[in-house]
Amino acid sequence: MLFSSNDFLFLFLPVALLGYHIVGRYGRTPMFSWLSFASLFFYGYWNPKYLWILVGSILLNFAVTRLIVRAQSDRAKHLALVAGIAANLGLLVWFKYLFPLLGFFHGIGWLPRNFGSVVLPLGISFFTFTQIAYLIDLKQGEAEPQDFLSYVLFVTFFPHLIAGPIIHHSEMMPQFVAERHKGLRADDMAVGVSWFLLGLGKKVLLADRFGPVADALFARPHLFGAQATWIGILSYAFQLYFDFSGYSDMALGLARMFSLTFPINFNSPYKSTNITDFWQRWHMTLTRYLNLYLFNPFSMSMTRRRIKMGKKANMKAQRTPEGFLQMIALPMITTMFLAGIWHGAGMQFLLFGLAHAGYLTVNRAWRVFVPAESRWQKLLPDPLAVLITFACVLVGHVLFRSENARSAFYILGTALGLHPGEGLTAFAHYLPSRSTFAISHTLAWLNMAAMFFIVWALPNTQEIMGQVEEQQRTRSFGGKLLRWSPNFAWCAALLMLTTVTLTMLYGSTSFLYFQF
Amino acid sequence: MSDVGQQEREQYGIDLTEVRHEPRETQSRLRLFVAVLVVWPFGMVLGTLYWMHTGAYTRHLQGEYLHGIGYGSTLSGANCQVLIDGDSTAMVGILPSLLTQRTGLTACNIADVAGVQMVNGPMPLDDYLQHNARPRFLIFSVTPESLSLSQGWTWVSPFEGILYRLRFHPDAGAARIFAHHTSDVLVGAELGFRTGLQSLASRPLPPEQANFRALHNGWQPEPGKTLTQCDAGDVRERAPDAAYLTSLRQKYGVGGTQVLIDVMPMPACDPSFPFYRAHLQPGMIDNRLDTLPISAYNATGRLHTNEDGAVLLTQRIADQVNAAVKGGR
Repeated sequence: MLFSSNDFLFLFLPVALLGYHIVGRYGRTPMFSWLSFASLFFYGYWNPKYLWILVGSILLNFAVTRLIVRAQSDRAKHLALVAGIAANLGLLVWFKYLFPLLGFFHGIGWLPRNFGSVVLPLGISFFTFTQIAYLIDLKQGEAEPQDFLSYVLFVTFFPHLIAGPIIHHSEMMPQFVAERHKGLRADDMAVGVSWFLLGLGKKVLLADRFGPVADALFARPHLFGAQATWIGILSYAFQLYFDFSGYSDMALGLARMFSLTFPINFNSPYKSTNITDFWQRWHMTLTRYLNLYLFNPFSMSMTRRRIKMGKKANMKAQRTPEGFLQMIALPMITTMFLAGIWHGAGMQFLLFGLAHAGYLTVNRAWRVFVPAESRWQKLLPDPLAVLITFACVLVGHVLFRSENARSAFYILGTALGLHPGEGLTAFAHYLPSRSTFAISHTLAWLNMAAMFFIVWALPNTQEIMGQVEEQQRTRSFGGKLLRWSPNFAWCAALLMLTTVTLTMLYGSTSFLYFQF
Repeated sequence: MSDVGQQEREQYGIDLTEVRHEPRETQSRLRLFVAVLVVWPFGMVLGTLYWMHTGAYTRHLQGEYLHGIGYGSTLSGANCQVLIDGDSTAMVGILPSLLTQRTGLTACNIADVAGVQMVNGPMPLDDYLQHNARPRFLIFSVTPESLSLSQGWTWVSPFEGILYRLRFHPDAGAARIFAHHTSDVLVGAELGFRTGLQSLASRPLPPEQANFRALHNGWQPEPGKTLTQCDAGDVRERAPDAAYLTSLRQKYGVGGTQVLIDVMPMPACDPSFPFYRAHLQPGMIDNRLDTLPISAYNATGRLHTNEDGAVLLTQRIADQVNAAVKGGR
């Protein structure tokens, strides 16, 4: 079920909230049961058949948690953990990579028959990652063992089930303290509903408006010339931004309606002054996950290997080419390679991962080899650094969105003026009425300018909602003026936003991250 | 403060495990704030459905097409010897005046877009038969895919069907149907709200436009660009249902009414044409699946004829009626 669908907005959510309000008064077990039931219904609504995969995954992982908890020796705990991770990865490989890979082998003649494809169960990556993290945390003593109902709710709670944020058990479950959860709270509802509506507006009024322009370009890269290609690339950049930003706002707003705070997952990434900063702001919980469960273990393993070989593994050693390569570059490239192919089995995703691995390695090399006090560190003024980072991100976006690597390079070539093609009017045949701004030169660039203003100059939603400390706020205009408060002006503004959003809901599409 | 609370505060500046107690005054203000935001979308939907129920809604929309929906339900005391029913292809394609001219029989066209039938069944026809004289000939003229009952609301947009139901039969039956199709009704209400808002600034339709169907015995053209090529991707193949067609003849072929079931001619390039050629068995329908030149169609809807096409189609139907009259003697 989409957060931006009528079924969710008018039927599921009101019933889920009302049920929680009633059942919450009767204690933990009825409340957990209701929320788990609602979340499983939410998942099964898409296709009840796939509910069994989610349920099976939960049962299997819960069994592994029991094995870890009951194991007497560290070795037994380790074996249980490895088995659990292997089973989770096996499920992911089966649904995500096996059939595309077999199809690839069939395509190049290595296999006589085509094995077809399987439908990717919604949110499989997210619920698998969440559970792997829990198993690791449990084995390392960083998470507490849970009863079955608590575990089911932790995995399935619908605001994070399909596309994150990827949360740790300790971030969610302890919040269900009895004093707070005796039904809906007006303060949390006010914040949650407002946050959700702002996210819904971003998704429906911005992302879904730019989406068709990007679709037109990436479906027919050879048709368009440089200007149209730039408009298409920027449209995708803004579609992806507002799609995921909108989703994250909705997820956090929904959680808050149930008096839960989820970790911030999206923090004005286009304001980043370098690529490391970008990854710390884009899908923040995924970055944290990659860091904790991929980069750090790889880096630690390389470090241990160096120590075994009698080599130094301190900061000074990192400043040698060999030390940098072993302790930073290789773990980074491996991590981003895996992050790339996590998005799908395709050369374009691999290249996307490697491109970002390259960016991050260069960025880290700069920080490692150029001393912090060096004047070279102050060479770039922030606006130029933001611009360069954004340009690098755009190249990554093109690789990420293209049908294949060849199309991606063609589009990048056209953007650099290497290939001729038609102008903006060529979009005319492919755009619904809500996206026709892209046909007019003036309107297209005005829209782009407005989006740049939003992503570069305005405060983000959590800042507007007052959910971050003053010192954590990004640089922006109008922070105080736009600060949310449950007053008449905000109520009127949100009612207008809701009205316009609902009238445009018909064109809303699935969230881009749902496909992963 | 709990560990989690400490962690939260360090990371996000908020401690959610801390129980906050707002003053009573603030609580009531927050409740009002939330209540307004939550109730508004529901109010918007219900208000729009009520608005769609009123005639004022369609009178303000640009164009008379939506205002003319449910023409059959508006007639009372009429005496149409030839009654045309069917989908939008019949509504735009069959000229009652030409039919009368070529057959000498009075003719009316109460056909509606397919969505009306999909949502409400033959309600406009049943209304007509209840309040008017029985016709001598009842002609169902539809696209080939409408020769079977649609399963669910999937075939065409239900918006016009919802609008019809709200305007003419906003009863308990409507509530039951809408409850089964909540999602479609919500989409319909949102579309209704959007188009309604867009039309607020416009003047109501002048009488000659508002009463176009009544002035032309039910014919409702939809002018548009002449079709120049078929859309190869627009494949609509649904096998005709002989049992459904028989049930139509049995239900309406009483009291001296002869039922004729016709399929709309298609341009020869239509991608579904071979499918229907193969699936339309002899005796299922009263004409044969034929073609009209592509220049007889326009781009306003599936198999919608322009005025030239409407003349060609009406002439064929007139010939069919004349043959039936002769056969009847």
